[in-house]
Formats: sequence, structure tokens, C-alpha cells
Amino acid sequence: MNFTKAFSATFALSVRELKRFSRQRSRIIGTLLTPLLFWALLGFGIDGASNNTSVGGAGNFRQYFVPGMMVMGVVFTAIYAAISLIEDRNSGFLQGVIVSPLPKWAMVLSKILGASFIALFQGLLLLPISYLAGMHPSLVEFASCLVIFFVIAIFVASLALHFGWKIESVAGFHGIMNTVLMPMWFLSGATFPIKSGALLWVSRLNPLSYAVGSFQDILFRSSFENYTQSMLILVLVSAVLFFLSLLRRT
Amino acid sequence: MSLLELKNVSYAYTQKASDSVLKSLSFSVPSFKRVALLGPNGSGKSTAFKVLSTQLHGWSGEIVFDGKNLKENESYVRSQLGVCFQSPSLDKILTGRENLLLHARVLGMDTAEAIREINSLAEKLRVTYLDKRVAEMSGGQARRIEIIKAFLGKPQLLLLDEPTNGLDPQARKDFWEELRSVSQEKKVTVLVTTHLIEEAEQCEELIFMSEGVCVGHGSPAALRSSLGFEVLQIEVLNIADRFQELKARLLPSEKAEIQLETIRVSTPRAQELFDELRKAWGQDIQRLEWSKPNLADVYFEKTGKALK
Repeated sequence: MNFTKAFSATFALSVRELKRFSRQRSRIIGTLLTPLLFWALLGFGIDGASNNTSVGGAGNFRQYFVPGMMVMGVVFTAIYAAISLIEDRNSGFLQGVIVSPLPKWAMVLSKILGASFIALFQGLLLLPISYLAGMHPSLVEFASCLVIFFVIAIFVASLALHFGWKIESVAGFHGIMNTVLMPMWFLSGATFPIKSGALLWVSRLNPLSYAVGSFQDILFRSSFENYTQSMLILVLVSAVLFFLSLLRRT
Repeated sequence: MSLLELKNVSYAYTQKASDSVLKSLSFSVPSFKRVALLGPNGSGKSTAFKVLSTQLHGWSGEIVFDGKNLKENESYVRSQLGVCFQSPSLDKILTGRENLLLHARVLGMDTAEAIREINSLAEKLRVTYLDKRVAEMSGGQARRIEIIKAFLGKPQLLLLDEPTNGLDPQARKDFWEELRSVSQEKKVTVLVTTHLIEEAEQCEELIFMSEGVCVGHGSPAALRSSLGFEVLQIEVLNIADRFQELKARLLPSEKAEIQLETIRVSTPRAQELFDELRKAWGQDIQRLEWSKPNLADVYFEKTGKALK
């Protein structure tokens, strides 16, 4: 199969992920409502307790937690996308794709792109919360934030797929993902600013920090200073994970 | 001319050679025929299916498909296969049409060609529910969609693993009628794995499998006539004692077994044994029948095992 046909098949398989997402109401509600509830409960709760003290460049915690809430949303989306790999395997759908002439990379890429398409849709719905929190991103800033959604999904889906190929049960996968991604999320500056010490070094090694940092730069300071560099880091790490997934798949 | 040829194919799921599921399996599948791999559970037919459909690697031996070595031309072979699995391979959230269009794209077909082929196959297989979600279809309806899926992309070889699993007798009958008609029209070779005699009878050639090897190959009629014996079926009181008594009377070339409270005897002297038993057991006999052998008898004769 030539590259054009393989890529067209990859795109079709990614669109399938979007169709599946749009037809599972519980999944839509889960991916949107979970981050929203976290933001509202933590945001109003902590602001109430701290008298709306400014945090890490944001006016209050409600604003500070918007990037963290959005990253959390994408993390959940990408995890669900990798879970669909396990579901495809258990339901038999995957065996039909495996015996087709489609190259292995196309199969892996379709899952990653599928997660990224869903993340884009999610971004469109979650980003307006920044206005509710009192921030006013311009159209360019809004679009740049959507790109971050897309790139984080590529990263997290690549990471999740790397584990997903070898894990048989959805419950086991959840366990592994929570162990890996929850600390990454906490150490990304999503819930509290990381300014010094060992945690700062750990957060610099954490790819999610670059995503949260980019959101914060755009939403709090309208700055694009580290944007390209951060996106490149995420894409690069994703590429490495993509190739590792490919090796695991074989 | 053979489309597919297996030469001494062996495969083990573990490292131990003694655990081999396929043991130097050799057979060939002629072009444009419907061929069944027949054997009970555990005979290795599903493993053979997985090897042929390129799901399993690490087997030894040689497989030649359309004159090409499978190991060296896996991508080509995949492009020439239509595969129908024992368990469903459709996305239940999508409609039948969405599943088929997606599979056509995975095969590299362009959309216009795919739509044309899907509509034509749906018409032939009398599928009028393409736009229904698979989750809302019956087992038989979903199976038909699977068959359309397997025929997409004009494959040379259709591989079907226990294709009528879970279908009721009428759906099974319809399935075979439609498969026969479409495979003949499209000039597709069909290789089916099954443990059901009635399913195997639908094929033009049979390959008997037992413990990972081929123990017989030929048309159903040729295999039946190769036996040279007939079958006595006896229902009698005190069946266990009578069975022991009967075994003492049998010649070394004759075989007997108990199946569902019936003694089945394969014998070249059916008339003689029939008269002998009627005299010896008299009133104890509840049923005594004498018939031509069926494929289960042929399988039993070749392997000493019942085809259940």
C-alpha cells in the first residue's frame, strides 16, 4: 500500500474515533464535566479560603487553574482514546485491521490523531471557560490554545498507547495511567506554581509542564515567548513515544 | 492449479517443540474451490487460520500463495485475502455502511469504487439494513455484513473461521447459499475452518485435521467411498456390557464406539454382523440400523476420534 492510501486510511480511522466519541453521550459528558467540576469546586473553594489572592501571575486561583483544568481534560481524552485500543482488541475490531495491508505506523498514528481531533473539539468547548474566569484571550490566542490542545493530545495519546498495546484489561490500564499521568499533571504547575528546589528540576523534565506553561503564558501574559519551543519539545517527545509504540506493536 | 500451498508448517505457542499445535502441516487449496478444514476443537484448524491470515508469526515451513512465498510477501498476501473471523470484527457503534466504507479505506480502495462494490454486494446478499447500527443488528444480519466486508477489495482467497458460529439453522442455510453464489460469481477461492459436518458438506474439498496434521484430503464423496465399509448403529439395553461383548466379536479392521447412547460400528461385513447381533441380543435391541458412512465415520476411521 502506498503512502497516500495509507495516510488516507489513517485519517478515516481517526475520524472513526471522533464518530465513536460523538455517539457515546456518557463519554462526552465525562470529558467535559470532569474538568469543569474540578475547576469550579477547586477554583471557588480555594479562592474563598484565600480571599482571592493572586497566584503565579494570575489574578486569583480560578484563573490560575484554567490551564491546569484544560490539560486535565485533554489527559482524560487521550486516556480514553488509548482505552478504545483495548476495547477494539477485545471487541475484535482490531483483528480486522491487523490482517489488512495497512502499515503498522498507520494503525498507531490513527489512534493518536483520533485523540487529537477529540481534544480539539474539547478545546473548543473548554476554552470559553477562560472568559468566565475573567480572562479575555484574543482570536489568535484562542487559536494558539487550540494548537496546544492538539499537541498535548498527541503527547498523552502516544504515551498511553505505548502502555496500551501490552495491557489486556481496561482496569489495569487505568491503574497504570493514573500512576504515570497524575503525578505528571501535579508536577506540571497545573495546580500550584513550582518555583524552586528539586520539584522545579522534576517539572522541567515533565513534558506536560511545557503545555501548562504555554497556556499560562498566553492566557495570563498574552506572551508567545516560549510557545514554539514548548510545542517542539512536546512534538519531539511524542515522536520518540510514537516510535517506541511502533516497536511495542511489533 | 493451487492458489495456496502449505509445506510442513509447524507452530507452537510456547518455546517447547513438544507443545506444537501445527506439526508439519501440509495441504494445498485449488483455485476457485470451496475447501473446508474439518476437525474437532483443538485439532489446530484455528491456529492454521491465524497463520494463513498473517496474525501469527514465528511458524516454520513454507506457505506459497499465488506463487509467492508468504513470509517474503506478507503485504501482498494480505491485500489478496478476505478474512471473516469466528468472533465479530465490526464496530458496533457504527452502522453497517460506515464499517464497510472504513474497511474499504483500510484496504486502500477509493470511495466511489467502495460505494459501488458495497451496494452491489449488499444487493446480492439481500442486505437492506446497511444504515442500521451494528449493535442493533441480529447475529445473522451482522454476519452478512462481515461477509460483505470479507469480499471487499476483490480478494483471491476468502478465509472464514467457523463462519456460522452462533447462527440458527435457517440463517446457516442462507449463509451457505449466499456464500456459494457470490464466491462462484466473483471467482473467489474459499477456505473455511469448521467442526460441523453439515458445514463441511457445503464444500467441494475437505481437509481433515487432527492434532495439527492433515489426515485426509479429498471431495466429500471421494472420502466417503474411500472407506470400503458401512456403519451399524445399535441401541441396546445394558449398553456398556454389550459394548464390551461386541468389541470381543470384532475383527482388527473394525471399529466401535459409543456416541449418545448408541453403539456405532464401522465394518466391511455389515450384513453378517447385523444378522449375528439380531440373533445374539434379540429382544434387548431397541434399534438396529445399517447405513452408508458419513463424514464423521470417515473422520473416525482416519483418526480413531469422534468429530464432535
